[in-house]
Amino acid sequence: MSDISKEKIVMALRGETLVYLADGLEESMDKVKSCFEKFLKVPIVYTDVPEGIDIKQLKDDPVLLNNTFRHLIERREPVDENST
Amino acid sequence: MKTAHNLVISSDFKDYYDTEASSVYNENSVVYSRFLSKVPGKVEELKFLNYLGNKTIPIMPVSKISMDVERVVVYMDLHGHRGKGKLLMRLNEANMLYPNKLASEYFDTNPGITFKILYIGKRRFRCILRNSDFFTENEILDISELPSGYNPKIALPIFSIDYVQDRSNQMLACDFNSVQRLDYLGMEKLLSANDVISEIYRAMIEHKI
Repeated sequence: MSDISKEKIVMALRGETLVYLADGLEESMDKVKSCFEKFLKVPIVYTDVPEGIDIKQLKDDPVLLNNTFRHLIERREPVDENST
Repeated sequence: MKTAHNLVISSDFKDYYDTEASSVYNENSVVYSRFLSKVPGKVEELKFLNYLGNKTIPIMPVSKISMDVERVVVYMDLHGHRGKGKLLMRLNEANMLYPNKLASEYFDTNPGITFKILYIGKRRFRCILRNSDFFTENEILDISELPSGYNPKIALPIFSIDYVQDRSNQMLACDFNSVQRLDYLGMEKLLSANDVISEIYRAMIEHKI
């Protein structure tokens, strides 16, 4: 088991666009994510920062951010309005 | 005449622009929910701003506040609005009465003055307010419009952030109002009810709420 803490990123999903909100080490990011969920009325996406990716670049470049995490949006299940 | 936007407001208070909202809900309606009774509270508000990179006032139990602070704001009710649930007192007095309550330093750089940045859709305003009894914002000293634009990180149709000036004249966020009343700010003089409804509607479409 690795003792190295993972770097996480928190983003807001607006339609089909991801917006950077915050990043940090795993142990502190869970509470950040739940805080955002209390205020923002859009889905919050929370994931690992891929190895070799510079978080500062992701923060400053919305196109790179969206290209890097596009698969997460595509993977999201559509909401079945008939489900109970 | 009512605005063409089919915006329905679901709320626990009334504001001046409500008259222009739709009263009939149908499948094309956009619903703006604003409930003062459901806001998460002071601690969460400050954390939220802090996590987004804003400098905020330090808030901690009275007993942990540095002794060189003269006066403190003690939070008796963390869900209070517009000055309710706060007490201003000397730190030594607060230490005796409420050592475990959360509090923050009271900055008397601009006593009784709150600087508020208000978002109504993409319209942004800077309001300077004088508080009648230190906390209750009720005299508007100045309102000026800032260049417009949505806040990409805060996907809410109407919200505001309040600031105070600390001892080194740095602006620190002291409140995040995820639900903001507009009537007491006198916004009616600057934005008609129709304009507010249009801004809310467009913001909800823009933010994909």
